[in-house]
Amino acid sequence: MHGDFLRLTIAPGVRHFLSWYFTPSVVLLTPVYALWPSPVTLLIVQSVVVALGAWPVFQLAKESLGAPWLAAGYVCVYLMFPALLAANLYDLHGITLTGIYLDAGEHHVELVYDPPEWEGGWRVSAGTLVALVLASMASYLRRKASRPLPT
Amino acid sequence: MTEFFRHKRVLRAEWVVVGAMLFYAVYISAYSAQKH
Repeated sequence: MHGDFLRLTIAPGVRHFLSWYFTPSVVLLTPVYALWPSPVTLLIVQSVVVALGAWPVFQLAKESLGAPWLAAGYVCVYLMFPALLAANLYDLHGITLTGIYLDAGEHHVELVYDPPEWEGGWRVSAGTLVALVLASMASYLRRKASRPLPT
Repeated sequence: MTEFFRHKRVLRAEWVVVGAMLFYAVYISAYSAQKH
């Protein structure tokens, strides 16, 4: 915005979003915010994004259970989940927006890696995800440990 | 009447889910905007 992309104004002493808690999902909101520059816009977009996350949840549950109405129950659980509701009502957070990516990603992974002849593909995909997160954390900690402490 | 519902399948779970999503988006948006 204003010709200074990724400029950060909410953290004292930090000028660039990449040198803070960078969340790409928040950057994706920039065009919408440019059209209607108001905090209310961001809250509305967050609510819409969280609501859209219900669709992949429904598809996942429907394919796993084979019962559309039971899957609709899962959607109710997702939409009324207290932690998600509280996060949505509290303020705008990048982490709240990631729910839909996780839901949709898991659904996509299930479609691609879970053919009928290979049951349990979702376990492999979830395991891969956990392994990737752990590997990146380990690599970060290793780099941090090898760096000299600031004096 | 039961036959009518069985054949037409008037209320589908998909539409209920879409309705819940719309309700959630509108209600929570309005609530957040008002709170702000």
